[in-house]
Amino acid sequence: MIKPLRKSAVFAAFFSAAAAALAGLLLVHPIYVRSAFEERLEKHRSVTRTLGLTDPCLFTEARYTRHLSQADLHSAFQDHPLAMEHFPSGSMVLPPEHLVRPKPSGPKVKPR
Amino acid sequence: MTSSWFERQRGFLDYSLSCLWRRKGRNLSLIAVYSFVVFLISSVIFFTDALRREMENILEEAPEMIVQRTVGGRHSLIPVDYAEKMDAIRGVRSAEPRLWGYYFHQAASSNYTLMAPADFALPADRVKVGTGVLRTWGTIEEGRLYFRSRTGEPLILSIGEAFDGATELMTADLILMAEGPFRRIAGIPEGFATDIALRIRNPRECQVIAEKISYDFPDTRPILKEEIQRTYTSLFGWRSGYVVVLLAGALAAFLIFTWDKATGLSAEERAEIGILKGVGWDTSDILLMKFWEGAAISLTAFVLGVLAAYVHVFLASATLFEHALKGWAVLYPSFELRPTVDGFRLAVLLFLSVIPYTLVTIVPVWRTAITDPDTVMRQG
Amino acid sequence: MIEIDEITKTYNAGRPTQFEALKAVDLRIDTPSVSVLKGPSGSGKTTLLSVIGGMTRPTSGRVRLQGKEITGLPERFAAETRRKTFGFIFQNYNLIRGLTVLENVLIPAVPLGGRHREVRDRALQLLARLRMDGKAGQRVELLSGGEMQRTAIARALINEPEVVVADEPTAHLDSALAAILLESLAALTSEGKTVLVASHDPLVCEAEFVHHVIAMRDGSVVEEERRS
Ligand SMILES: Nc1ncnc2c1ncn2[C@@H]1O[C@H](COP(=O)(O)OP(=O)(O)O)[C@@H](O)[C@H]1O
Ligand SMILES: [Mg+2]
Repeated sequence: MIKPLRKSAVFAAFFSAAAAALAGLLLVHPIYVRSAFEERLEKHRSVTRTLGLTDPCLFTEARYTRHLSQADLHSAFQDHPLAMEHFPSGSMVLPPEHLVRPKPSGPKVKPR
Repeated sequence: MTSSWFERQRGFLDYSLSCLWRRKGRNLSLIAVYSFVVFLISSVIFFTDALRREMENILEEAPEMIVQRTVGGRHSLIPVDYAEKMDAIRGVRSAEPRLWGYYFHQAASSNYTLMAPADFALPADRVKVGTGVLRTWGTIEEGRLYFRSRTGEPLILSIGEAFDGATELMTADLILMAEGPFRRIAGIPEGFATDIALRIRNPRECQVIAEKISYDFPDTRPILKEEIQRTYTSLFGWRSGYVVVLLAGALAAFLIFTWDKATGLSAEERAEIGILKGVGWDTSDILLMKFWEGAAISLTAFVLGVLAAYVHVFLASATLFEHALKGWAVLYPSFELRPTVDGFRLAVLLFLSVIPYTLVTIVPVWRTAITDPDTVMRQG
Repeated sequence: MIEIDEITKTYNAGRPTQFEALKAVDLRIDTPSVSVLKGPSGSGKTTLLSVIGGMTRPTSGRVRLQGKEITGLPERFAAETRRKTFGFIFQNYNLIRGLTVLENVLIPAVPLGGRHREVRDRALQLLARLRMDGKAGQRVELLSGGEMQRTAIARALINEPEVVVADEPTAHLDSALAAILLESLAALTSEGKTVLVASHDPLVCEAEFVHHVIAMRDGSVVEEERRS
């Protein structure tokens, strides 16, 4: 008679393979791609520095979504993120904090 | 007979796997749904953490302060001579008027960001464009881009240079040009700029300088770098719509498939527990077996879900989110995120995906398991 | 020797449904032997087996096995005694559906945590002895009645118990199958095991290998017969 494999053995083999793959990704992959990303970050930083950029190019739909940090007090973007809005990006990003809670005495910098 | 802790646990695991395997269709789809829930949640966590960290690092290089002029509470053009006055404020290293604006390209219905940097290095009939522009502008013949100026007449500028594709996250939609053509296209009159970027020597003085500017230039509004950075650290906050929808869906899925467990056992399951007690298992043995059942399912779902999320976010550029982030926009930057995994968040996720499910598996059994085993003698 | 001293069992004590299922039952059962509890339905046979086997606690009285008291143990120890000392064959076998014959036979051994290879070999030997070795990988709901029965016997024997308890084992069997079952049970005495059967089936009570017949009625022992 063929002795069937124990179910726990099959499970353990499957589970440890998946866990090993995960551990490999979590621990090894970041090291492997590290230098490429360092380089890319430096490029991003340098273009940001030289051009004085303030916002990533994530939402190009409208002027008030393209430069979120520059949105003015009366632009549509400050609508509540759960509001039905014309552009989907409004449901993903909170309005900038300084717009949600404008401080009467101007912006405050938290002491570090 | 030698008895070992390990063999005992393994025996319980064997038994519960055999039981799960009896209804493999149901249990495998349960694992699939569960993994998908874990996948969605961990994708959001991976994506937002990585993007947030990237933005934090990049925006460190943003100007310390942007000064906007407001008219009637709205952003308005700022006189260039404000910059000279601000330059004179103690602690300000430089105050540069920035010329930038948006351009809507009718043919592709896409929005671009026009900028005229002070030190633009190309001739006046040339532009430097982000790679996203090349992708979305439409047909570009001989590198020429046709703009419509404010007065309605066409303006032809040719592509002199393109940004490095690796910087798309910041530059995808940029079109850099000289000041002359910019003013003609954007309609910003001489002597005015979009806003003023301040570089400040000592970051700790920002607050004082901001207050001074608000006081000296009551028609302006300063935006600090810290606020700029914070805008993007709140990206996908827990309250924001997309995440709420995702989490609500995930929670609903979780509730649905734990519901029939939590609402009690079927007569068949109860009978089986009776049999186990009858043949000599005690309450803790049954709970242990159920623990392994819950742990096997939820751990598998956790590992598969996180694995898929990692592949999705860091190896496949978060393709599922692209659609959501892109929204109505025509142009979306192609970018890869640097793998960043926060061990603590992962631990919380592990805890949340394994503990509640395992408890929901064990608790209803516990009530049945503590009854006297002699009822098994009377079944039938 | 199994000594049963003044066992009473009252269900739902203090409530209107209070019911005295066992009334001061006093018995001595030799080991090894084959003993049969007989009596009409409702006379307390199952209850007595449950008490002896540690599945339920008596309201008063005690049970001693080879001089050691086994009643009144906390649940953990009761389960421990139960699985090491007793093997149970239930009225309708109570096999776990969807699992294979071998998996079913192994169940009582799981909490003991013995070496899997040894336990499995023991199970396969038992199945071979019961002429079930070809069926070890078969799912139990596909078995014939006789095969289910032998699976149940193998399961009762897997932990090598001193006492095998069987409640109405022939209730759903035709006489041929019943005879085979009884033979298998009787064979156990030669291995030094004690067999305790509850049955109102005359076929069981009159079988030649029975050493001790205990007649019960309304929760009391009304007659005892020892054969040699
Ligand atoms: N859990 C219980 N609660 C109340 N009465 C019970 C319970 N279990 C058994 N009885 C009663 O105890 C009596 C003896 O039952 P049992 O030992 O099963 O008899 P037998 O096996 O001889 O048919 C029956 O009248 C039965 O109704
Ligand atoms: Mg009975």
